[in-house]
Amino acid sequence: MKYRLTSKDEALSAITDYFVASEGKSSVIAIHEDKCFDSDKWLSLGEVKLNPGEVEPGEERRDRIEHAVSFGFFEWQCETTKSVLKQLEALMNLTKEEHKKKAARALDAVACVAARVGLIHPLFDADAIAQMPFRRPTTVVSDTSAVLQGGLDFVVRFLYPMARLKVPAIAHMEILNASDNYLKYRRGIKIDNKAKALFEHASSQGGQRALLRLELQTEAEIERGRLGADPLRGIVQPDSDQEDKVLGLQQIQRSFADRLIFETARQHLSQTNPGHPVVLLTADQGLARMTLGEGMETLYFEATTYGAISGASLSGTTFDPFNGKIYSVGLLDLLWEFAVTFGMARLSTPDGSAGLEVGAMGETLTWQPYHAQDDLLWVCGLGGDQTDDPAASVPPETVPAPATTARADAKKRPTEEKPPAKPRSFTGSYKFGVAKLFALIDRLNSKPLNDKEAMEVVGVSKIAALDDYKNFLTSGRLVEQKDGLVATESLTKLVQALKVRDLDAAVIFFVDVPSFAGFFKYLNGEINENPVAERAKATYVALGEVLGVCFEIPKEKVYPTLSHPTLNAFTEAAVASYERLAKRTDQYVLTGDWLEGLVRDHGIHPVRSRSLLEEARVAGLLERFTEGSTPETGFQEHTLNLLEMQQGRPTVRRIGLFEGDFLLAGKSSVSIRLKRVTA
Amino acid sequence: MDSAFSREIRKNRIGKDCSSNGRANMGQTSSLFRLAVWKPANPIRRFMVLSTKDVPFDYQLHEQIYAWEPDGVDIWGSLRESARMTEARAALIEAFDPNKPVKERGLDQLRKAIEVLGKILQEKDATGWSECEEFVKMGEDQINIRANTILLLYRHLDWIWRVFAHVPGASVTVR
Repeated sequence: MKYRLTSKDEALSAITDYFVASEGKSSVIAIHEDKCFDSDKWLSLGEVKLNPGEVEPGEERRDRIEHAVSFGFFEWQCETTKSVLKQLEALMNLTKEEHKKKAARALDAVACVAARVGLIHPLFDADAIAQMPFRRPTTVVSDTSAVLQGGLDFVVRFLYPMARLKVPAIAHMEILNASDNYLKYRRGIKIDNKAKALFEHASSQGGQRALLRLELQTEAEIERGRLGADPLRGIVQPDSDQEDKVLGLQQIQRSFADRLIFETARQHLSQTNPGHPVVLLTADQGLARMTLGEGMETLYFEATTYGAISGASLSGTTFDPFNGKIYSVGLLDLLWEFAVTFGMARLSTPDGSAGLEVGAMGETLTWQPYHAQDDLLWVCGLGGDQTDDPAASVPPETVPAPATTARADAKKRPTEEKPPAKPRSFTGSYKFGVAKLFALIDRLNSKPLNDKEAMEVVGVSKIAALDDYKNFLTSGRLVEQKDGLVATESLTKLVQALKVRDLDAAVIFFVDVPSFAGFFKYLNGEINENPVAERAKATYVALGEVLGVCFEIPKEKVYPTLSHPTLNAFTEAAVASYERLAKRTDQYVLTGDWLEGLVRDHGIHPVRSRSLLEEARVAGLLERFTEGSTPETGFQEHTLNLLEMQQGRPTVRRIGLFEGDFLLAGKSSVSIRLKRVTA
Repeated sequence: MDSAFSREIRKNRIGKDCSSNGRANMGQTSSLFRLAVWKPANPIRRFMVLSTKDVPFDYQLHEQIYAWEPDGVDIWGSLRESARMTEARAALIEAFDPNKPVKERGLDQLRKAIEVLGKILQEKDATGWSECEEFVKMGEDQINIRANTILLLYRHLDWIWRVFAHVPGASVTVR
């Protein structure tokens, strides 16, 4: 096996390759501990199924799969307790009941991994949940069990920054102590109690990862309390100190550690302002009872056991328990957490013939602080042509210094290792920033651009992100792709139309783009189904708004705005729309409401309404009065993408329709009153 | 958004693996599901209820201890059969109508509703992964989050049940 130090970004490419190659086959997530399990024996934790969805026109299958891995579009069907325990006992050749019990406890670490990454939530005390999310700053002091069993991660994920986190030094030391215990097993010639060694491995490495991850990979600010009194030495490592012997500290190590955690919480309480809540986060019943008994509050949650996930189907996308939004857990986050907690993890076909192995601890696998800083682990591809796999070519002994490892290579890969692009039919729809498209059109009108220059103009770092711009323009024969992008005569004429804000003329050039032509037909009512791919709809709606052919009213729909009324017809429509809103003849109504009424009932775009209103006023058909006032709140989403000229260049600005700066230049017009002029 | 419109949106989604993606969508959903867990209140101060025709003679004060509603997520979006939609709505919404007596809206009833969702999840092709309105930004791209909303709801309700199952007198309402 050839392992290579790899970042998650680089592993993403390798695991995507695996899923692309093994599409339709099932995948299994498994762990391995090199000292406790026989070599090449893996503990299967269940099947993982990716749900990337159907590929839409203009999309690549590979992109879909990559997004599914990154954003947690997967289900993990967990093994039942019975099945996984049976496997584990066989893997470690356990015969003694005592060892089997310890193995079952070690198995709880699997559920703890799920809780730490956020696939499941700890089962908090009902009263504690009733206090969440915190409405005022609250200091949360974590004990060791909370670090290991996902309580601290829950607080960081859902309660921070209102929760101020404190991790007492004793929690770090307890985890360090477990680590020391495990390393003693590891260094020994023979492990007499493999179940205990596995337990110590999972507790110590999982705990250290939780603390390192929170410190290095999240924005959460965690404060460490002072170490405290000298007798600590006697708690974390028994020694021959006479004073410790007299105090008998070695006999009460665990409860004394709990006491010190409690004392840390109480110390914080004494240092904070009166009334500032300080709570102790723990899964330890004894510590929770002591905390309550001594007049402090606790955030208690039930110990996380394997039973919490036994036979369950866990989803990589999950509901936030408080704000109702969905958050996601990347598949690699899960794999990484397992690898560190147990030493090795892999995602592969059931027979292990293809997949990805991730290692954190092994005979040949080293560790240095920069690995933790950049969250690098040892990765090896399984099966296939391993020389193509970025994670399978360099043995650990020859891994170069960090500056030239995976991170540097990962930056090169998008252009150097991607297979050559297939010829495009340009029938798909594209997703891009509309303002950036206009910036690119303007620059191309001045000079041809190579890919690098074009990427700078649209502000993207990946060549793939530029493709949508290029293909959109190419499909409408607005550019030609020679050595770079070269403007055609159509693009030059388009820019001329844009400069004089002749939107109707501009639309003609965009209708040459097949995908936009399809969208236009849909707006026009020629076809019933919007042909634009779901991922690109926002782009086409924004472009349609800029060109004056559609307008979206939030929480309603996208309305076509293809009406070009005469001045008299507009006057009738404007008055009708006003009268529908005004209860009295002299009442001011919200300008945004009036404009949206014209969109909704008469298909007139706000830009057209603006110019026609002025023409009707000049022609003596209408009188309009406006008032400026504080814009109504609640309409922030009612925006319009507007074409403007800045220093002779076409640009797109997003304006609020209800904010009063749209209708009249230099005059606030939050509200409007209309009066028909009668002869 | 009026409820008729919402119903229309949901109806359109049945049987499709599609999203109601942000601005591009021809409509969107707001939360139509708000779950709250209640328990008998234990007020510190005394309260006096002035009897009027509108106040029932026998009453209890309950306090809300947890409330949750999906934000911008159509929880039924992953259901692929209208019959299952009816079943799930009956188990979750009609069963926890706030007008029902407290004892009929207990946590044991919630367990039954969770089991209904569990059964639907077990059925082949009754649910599927679909795109949600929520998205994440990835450089230039906006990636719509995909989820099996019924599975998410199942997991979340299961968590709620496990947390509150044994709170004396606790009840659930869904609006």
